[in-house]
Amino acid sequence: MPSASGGRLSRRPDARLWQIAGRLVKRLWRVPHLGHDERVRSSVNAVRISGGRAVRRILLGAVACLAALSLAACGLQIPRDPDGTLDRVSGGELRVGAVEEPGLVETDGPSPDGPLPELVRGFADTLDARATWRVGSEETLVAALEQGELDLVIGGFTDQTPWIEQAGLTRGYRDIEHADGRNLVLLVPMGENAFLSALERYLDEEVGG
Amino acid sequence: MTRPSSAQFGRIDLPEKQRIALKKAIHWELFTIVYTSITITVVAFVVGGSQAMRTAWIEDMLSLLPQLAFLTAVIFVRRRPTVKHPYGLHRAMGVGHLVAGIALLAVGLNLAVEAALSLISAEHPTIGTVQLFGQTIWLGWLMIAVMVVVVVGPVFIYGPAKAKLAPVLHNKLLYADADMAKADWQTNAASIVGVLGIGLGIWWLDGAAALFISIGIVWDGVRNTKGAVIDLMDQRARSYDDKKPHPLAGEITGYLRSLPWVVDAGVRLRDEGQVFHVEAFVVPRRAKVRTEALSEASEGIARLDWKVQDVVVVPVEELPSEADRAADA
Repeated sequence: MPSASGGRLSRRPDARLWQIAGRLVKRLWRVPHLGHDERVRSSVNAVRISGGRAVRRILLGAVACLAALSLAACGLQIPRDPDGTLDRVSGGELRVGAVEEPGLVETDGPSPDGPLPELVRGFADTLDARATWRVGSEETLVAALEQGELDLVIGGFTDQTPWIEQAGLTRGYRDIEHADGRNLVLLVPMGENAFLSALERYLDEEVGG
Repeated sequence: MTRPSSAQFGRIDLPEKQRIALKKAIHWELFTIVYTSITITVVAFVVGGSQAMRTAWIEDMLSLLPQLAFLTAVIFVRRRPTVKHPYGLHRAMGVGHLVAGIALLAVGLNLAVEAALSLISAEHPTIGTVQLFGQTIWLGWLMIAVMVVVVVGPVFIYGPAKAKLAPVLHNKLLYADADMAKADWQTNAASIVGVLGIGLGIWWLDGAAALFISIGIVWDGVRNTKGAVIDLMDQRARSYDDKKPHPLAGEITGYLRSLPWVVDAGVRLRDEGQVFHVEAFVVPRRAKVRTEALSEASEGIARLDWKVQDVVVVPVEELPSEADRAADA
């Protein structure tokens, strides 16, 4: 657990900011930009301040970083899961916890139904995985997620969920059916970033950003 | 006994070279505040679940403190000495230095504990993706890109610029500020290592990087607090980087000893923040000393350096044992 001082303030300040920025970018995109010459001139001035030796160091640094990045991009898949969730689920079993939520997750039938379970089944398909279900309360299912007994928990969770200390969150998705203006998130095991990225990629394609 | 014109106590008007340097320093501090504010805003977009990024982000906010302290102190330092404040308000610089040091220390310790706890509880940092121009990319790449870009300012632009001005102004707050800025690349490098660690599935690298960064903040806090406290406690004046006793002590005693009516001399030299307060003790050749001779000596000392205008020359039978005879200079 992080200490009290960290608190919720700075936990994920970026989530809300990205939304605002997205809107801003969309709006600004239509505004004419600085001319090319102007931009070049101001960057030349900035470089002149720092002097010749500094410029060389900046260039060297940039080259080193590019080299490192391209190496990383070719040789390795990044991000990777510390506990290998994505590898285990692919071609195997996707263990999903479902919390009843009217309109989003219906748990009356033999297996959960509704927009969220449908999305999960679609995601499982892209990984050649079979979804297995467990229905329960939020607390029970989040605890199971923490224990590594589940790979994914769905329900009426939003980006304001208090479970942020116990679970990793996807970005918020507004355009899921019956979201009713809520910014819906899915819960994944903490730190399983390859799995989380694969899930977000799938959701981006299915229900937009 | 003292300089004839009472308004001369505590220099508030600077010579040309220092005046220009101070103006430049103020401009650089303002530039730094603008730059750092932009940095803080940009980094806020990519903080994500990385402890190292969060620590680096808070460090960016803390790095505003020395500039704010400097700019606040500059307002007070300019005020003339009065009966109520007979030494002027030069100590404002030291007080600002102390406040900045304590803040660094407190927040640094807090962050170090937080990083250590997250390591002990094996908390796996979660970093997902973002959508950028219709592409879904891992947020970690953006974090790394941002950290590479924002390091340019402190390390290549304003850090070195302020480091050049600090000795001219004999300003320890400015020097410490420049020193921290120049060391900023360590923070950015550490946070990049932390994020790359997360990317490679090595979750503990992030906490380790956060711990490294926060220990750096604690160290800055300790250094600054110590330096500020020692100066406020009136230690013998030292050079702007605190590395050696200030050579002015030797110059002053040397000058006094060169006067025909002086047998021996010693000084008490204290650093008021940017200028010195000088108490010079002289053992005269004869028991009688003309007040004009004392005034001349005082003026002669003031001519040695712009930092020493607040001078008191005291004739004594024997030099006090605590007085600096500049034997080591």
